[in-house]
Amino acid sequence: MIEFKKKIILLGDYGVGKTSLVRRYVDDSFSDKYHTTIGVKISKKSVRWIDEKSQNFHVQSMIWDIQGRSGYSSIPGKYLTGASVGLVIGDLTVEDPVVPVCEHIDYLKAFSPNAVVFVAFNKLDLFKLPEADLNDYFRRVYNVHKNVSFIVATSAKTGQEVEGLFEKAAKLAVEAEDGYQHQPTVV
Amino acid sequence: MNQLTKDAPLSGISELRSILLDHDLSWLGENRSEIETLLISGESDALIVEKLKPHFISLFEEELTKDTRTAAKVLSPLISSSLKTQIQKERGQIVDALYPIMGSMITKYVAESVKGIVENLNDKVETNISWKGINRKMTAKLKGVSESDLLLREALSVEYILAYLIHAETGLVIAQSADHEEEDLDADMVAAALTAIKDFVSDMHAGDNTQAQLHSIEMGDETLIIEGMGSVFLAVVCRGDVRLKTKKQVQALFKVLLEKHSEDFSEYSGGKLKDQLQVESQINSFVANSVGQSDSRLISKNRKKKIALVLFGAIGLCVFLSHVYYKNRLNKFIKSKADFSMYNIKANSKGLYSYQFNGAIPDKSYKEKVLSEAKSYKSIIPIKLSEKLTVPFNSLNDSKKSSEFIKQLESHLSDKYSGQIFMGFYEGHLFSKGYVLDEKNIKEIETELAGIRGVDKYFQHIISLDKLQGRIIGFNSNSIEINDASKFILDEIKGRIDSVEGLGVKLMGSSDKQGTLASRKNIANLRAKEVSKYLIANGLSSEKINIVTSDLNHMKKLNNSGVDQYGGRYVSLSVVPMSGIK
Repeated sequence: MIEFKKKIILLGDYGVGKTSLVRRYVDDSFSDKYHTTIGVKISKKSVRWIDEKSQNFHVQSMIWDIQGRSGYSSIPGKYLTGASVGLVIGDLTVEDPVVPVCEHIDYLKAFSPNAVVFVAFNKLDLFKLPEADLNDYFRRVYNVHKNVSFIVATSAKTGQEVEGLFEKAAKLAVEAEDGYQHQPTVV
Repeated sequence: MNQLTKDAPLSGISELRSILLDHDLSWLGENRSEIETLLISGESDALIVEKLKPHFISLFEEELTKDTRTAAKVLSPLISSSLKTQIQKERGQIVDALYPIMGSMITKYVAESVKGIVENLNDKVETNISWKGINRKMTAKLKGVSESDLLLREALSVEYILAYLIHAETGLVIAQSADHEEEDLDADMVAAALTAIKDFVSDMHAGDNTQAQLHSIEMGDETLIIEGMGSVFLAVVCRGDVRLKTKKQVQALFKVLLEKHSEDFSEYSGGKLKDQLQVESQINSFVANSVGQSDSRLISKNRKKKIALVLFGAIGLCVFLSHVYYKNRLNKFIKSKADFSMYNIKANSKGLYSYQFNGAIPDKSYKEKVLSEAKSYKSIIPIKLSEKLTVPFNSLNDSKKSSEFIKQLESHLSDKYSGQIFMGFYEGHLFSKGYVLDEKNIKEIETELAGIRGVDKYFQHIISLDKLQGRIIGFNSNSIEINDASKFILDEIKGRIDSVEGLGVKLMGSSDKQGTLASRKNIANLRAKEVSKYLIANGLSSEKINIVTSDLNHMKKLNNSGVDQYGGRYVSLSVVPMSGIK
């Protein structure tokens, strides 16, 4: 069995649903409660899989849920360093979620240039716009950040795409180790 | 590493050679003929060397004096190296030489240490009648050792409960002591939380230009020692008498790990190290060899819970420290602002992550100014700002409400103008009642007041009343004629009243003690009317003048006090707003 530990960080503005996504994935429960400790909450979950060469993988994901950004608070850069994957979360219910998502990717890259970048537009359950607009969001993110490996729309409330997002993050974190070239995927 | 240490002295020697010999060679060139003469003179080598020696010594001294910095740089490693060799060879002599200097320090240190041990022993003895004391007695009997030995061992002991080697960037546990694996505590979670706390502390002080690092956390009986450099740090949970020596032991372990595996650590990416077993073995050996380790096998789950509490306590401590830190920063900022400081605004912590501003300010819009400034601070904790900034008056026309503000304003201006400014509010105007105001002062104060929110609504002009108030126009006995000096004063007053819209003048005549009260009242009013006529004749609107019927009581009072130089024969002028005229 090949074992790894990987640091995965969640970034995004206040209220986009980062904590809820983690809760949904780790505890399989949904809660609107917020955490406020030292600006980060750490959770852990193991992922196991067998690849095409029948190799057993076991990855322990250390998920750093970092306090959301606001007008007068900022994230210590050190929290971002060493991340294998950065999950940047956007909020589908705000007017234009693409701009803050792109800003967070820039911030992440400044401290963790080698991190694999995932983008999740959350609150799909509340999103009322047609699918064409959702794809427009995806395209705009890619236009600015060509190196984003994965974009998905999620719902922490219903659990839609949540488990897949974290599991894919864990797998790509390990594949990135071997210099694996990611092809952008849109779900 | 080794390469560097070998090269350093070599390059130092070549540098020294260059400093000393370049000049020597040129000196030799210049003095070639003299030296040759000396060499062929047939004198012995020793004698030749003796003759040349002073020249070389002087050259050596000259060169060292010229470039002391380079000389120090070059000589330091050589001196250190030779000192080290000397100490190794002549240890006894060196100790003898240093003892007079170091002896007293060492004695003092030993005395302090002994004192600490004695105190510790006393504490232990006091527990003799406790369960722990009885247990110690039983153990001594069973093991066949004296109770005092056990006491001494307890007094000096420190045990390492567990140790983690953590990757600094990711917070992932690279290796941990084996003992821990049987316990409930999740090492990965602890390590990640610890890394976050460490980063938090470091980041919190980043703005102060300090290199603050978290080195240890103490909570109850446990101490968490953190030793870190480069890509990893070592966290060791200790129990007992943690001293400098303990920290040095942790440092020594860290040094050994770093020396042997630094390359492996820097390439760590979440998998196993190349020498994973060796690293784990070193950590295990360290933990197992700590004093009292045999007892640590009995570590209960309660103790593990305590460790978890230590970490949670540390998080709480961080939150508390950040509270204090940001509160102090906010208050420092408020104090630094002159227009804030006069309102005695203070930021107080109010529950978690929130601050309340207390103070009285003149205007609601000013709250926004204070709050927006406070919100501009960087904070990793989402700070909720609430305000209890009271607006002390809705209108300055309300004398009760405005009195506090006027008091604050006076105090603020008094500081600036040496306590000689007094403010007064009257019918929508602020008045100064100072003694030293000139036009420049007035402009300054007007500018300052205009910048204070709340005042601008009510404030129109600073009126330097001292130049107008209390001015009197004197008369000769039984006369109502205004003399030239008085005309000059009246012209000045008229000019001032004209220059400020909404001002008028109150006139009150007075007389000396001569005659009946009726005649005195009469001449007093005539004098006031004469002054009024003069002012009107010179262009002042009659609407701006109010003749107040002479108050005989006032006259009597003035006559008795003898304050005026005219024996009571005068007209007093009070410049007031128009509303006071009607």
